[in-house]
Amino acid sequence: MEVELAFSGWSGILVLMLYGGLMLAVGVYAFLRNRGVRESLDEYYLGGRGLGVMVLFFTFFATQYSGNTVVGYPPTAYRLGYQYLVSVPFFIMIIMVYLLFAPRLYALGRRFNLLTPVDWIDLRFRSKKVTILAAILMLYGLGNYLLEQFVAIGQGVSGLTGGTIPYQVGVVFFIVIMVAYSWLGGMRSVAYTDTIQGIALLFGVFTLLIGSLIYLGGLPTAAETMIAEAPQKLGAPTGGSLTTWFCLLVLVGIGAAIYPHAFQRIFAARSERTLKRSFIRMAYMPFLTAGVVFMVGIIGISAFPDLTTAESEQLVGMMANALANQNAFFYWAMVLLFGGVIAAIVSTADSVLLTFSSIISNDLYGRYIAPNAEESRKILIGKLVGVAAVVVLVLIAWYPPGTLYQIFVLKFEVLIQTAPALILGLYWSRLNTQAVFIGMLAGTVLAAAFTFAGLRPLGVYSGLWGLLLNLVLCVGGSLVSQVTEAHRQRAVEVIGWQR
Amino acid sequence: MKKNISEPVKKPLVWIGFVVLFALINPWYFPAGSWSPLVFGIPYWALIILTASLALSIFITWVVMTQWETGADEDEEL
Repeated sequence: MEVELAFSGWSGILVLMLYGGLMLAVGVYAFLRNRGVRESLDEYYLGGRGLGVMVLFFTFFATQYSGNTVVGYPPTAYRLGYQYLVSVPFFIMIIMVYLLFAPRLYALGRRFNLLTPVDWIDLRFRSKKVTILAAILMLYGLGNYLLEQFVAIGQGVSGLTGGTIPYQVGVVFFIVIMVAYSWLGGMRSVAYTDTIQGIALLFGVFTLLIGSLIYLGGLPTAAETMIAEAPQKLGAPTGGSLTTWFCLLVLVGIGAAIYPHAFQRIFAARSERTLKRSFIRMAYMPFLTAGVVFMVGIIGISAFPDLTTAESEQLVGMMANALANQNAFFYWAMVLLFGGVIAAIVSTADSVLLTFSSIISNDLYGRYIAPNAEESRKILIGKLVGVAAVVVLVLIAWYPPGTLYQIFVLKFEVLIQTAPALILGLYWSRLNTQAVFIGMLAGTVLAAAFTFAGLRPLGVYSGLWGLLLNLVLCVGGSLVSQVTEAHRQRAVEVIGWQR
Repeated sequence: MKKNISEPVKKPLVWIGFVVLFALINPWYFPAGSWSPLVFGIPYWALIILTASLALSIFITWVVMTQWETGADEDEEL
């Protein structure tokens, strides 16, 4: 169902042009302020390891909460009711998982000048096999993640402007801007624009909630509708939905914390204190974002009853439309909301692209192809490969292959398989390199196979089955095999940083 | 040089807290499908889950503030 937005047309275009111009200006500013940005990997990919609390916080925030949180979560809450309340604690889980590895990782990052997650894996295992496999899994997962964001940008733009700007033009416009400011200022540009994008998003979701509460009825009205028509949306989860709840907590908690772009941000903190304060703020953001959009979805149950699944996907558009018709304030607030949604998608995409390029620059080109190249050259190669990947992904987004489409779906499932190497490696000196490699490979194959076959034994997600096999092989293999004393000694030297 | 090092992952109390709170943010301990009483239109169990979630956020704050000290910053200054 196409929704005719009340604010389609020129005002949408105006806001998009403004957002685009602002982001570009930030890129130019970051470039002019830091002329050395093209000379050093640290400067370009980690902002010189100097991000302060606010910027670090917003870059974590904008990276975790994408446009999908705003546009995709309310429809899910609409369909599942309170069963989807899990979207609040699962974002808190991410911070909990961070605390299990970030303190030591940050300290090691400082000591060994780590730049990417793959950098850490290479330092820990010193194994070409493991490093390259991890790099490939990350690039693959990140590529698919980027693809998903590109599709979302196009849909967002054509939705906001009521089709005035065609899907393709929207995608190209924002991707060109994104590549331009990332190219200019690297991590600093990305983090500064994340700050603007995060604020826009927060403003948008709050006005959406307030407007919905004023004009579309509150939670009690929604509850009455549910009691009358769908009491299961109100009831405590049972059986299968309990398993889903549990799986989401684990999968999102571990998955989002070790997303390569999230992982890498730990290295960009100016100090441990900065990192700590950003984490504390992040621990409360789920209530202000996931909680707010959840309520919006619940209000939708009474405001727009009886939507089919496909229709409910347009829920946020319908609500924004209804609000925009009320008065000038909400009209502009909703235009800003949709601008904010697109900004949020762009801000997730830019972080992913930057991490993608950093793995190319540092871990593949810089480590194996031309270790002696100048850093500026490594950066250039990373940027160029990143741009080439963007072009390929845009083509895939426009001309989706009919048969092999599923290989572009895997993200979490693949990325999470690097978790044992990334996290266990931090603490366990006996961890065997061969076992890590076999576990990672087998976990990926199993997760991919289950996903393609649509298998979900016991209701547990394919990515978790893969992770379980991965862990069993990794831990079991390490326990039965002997790690050489030299290896163990080296591991102790690396992770025994406290001495 | 000996530094005062404290990592959350090595504190039994942190693990106990995380395990207990993780158990509490899973809604397994409510009668299946129950929702009454409603408070401001929100089912009682959802409020309990939200309270447990807030408790987790507060616990995280405590862990970050008191259980995490690696002295990584001091390395910088040396």
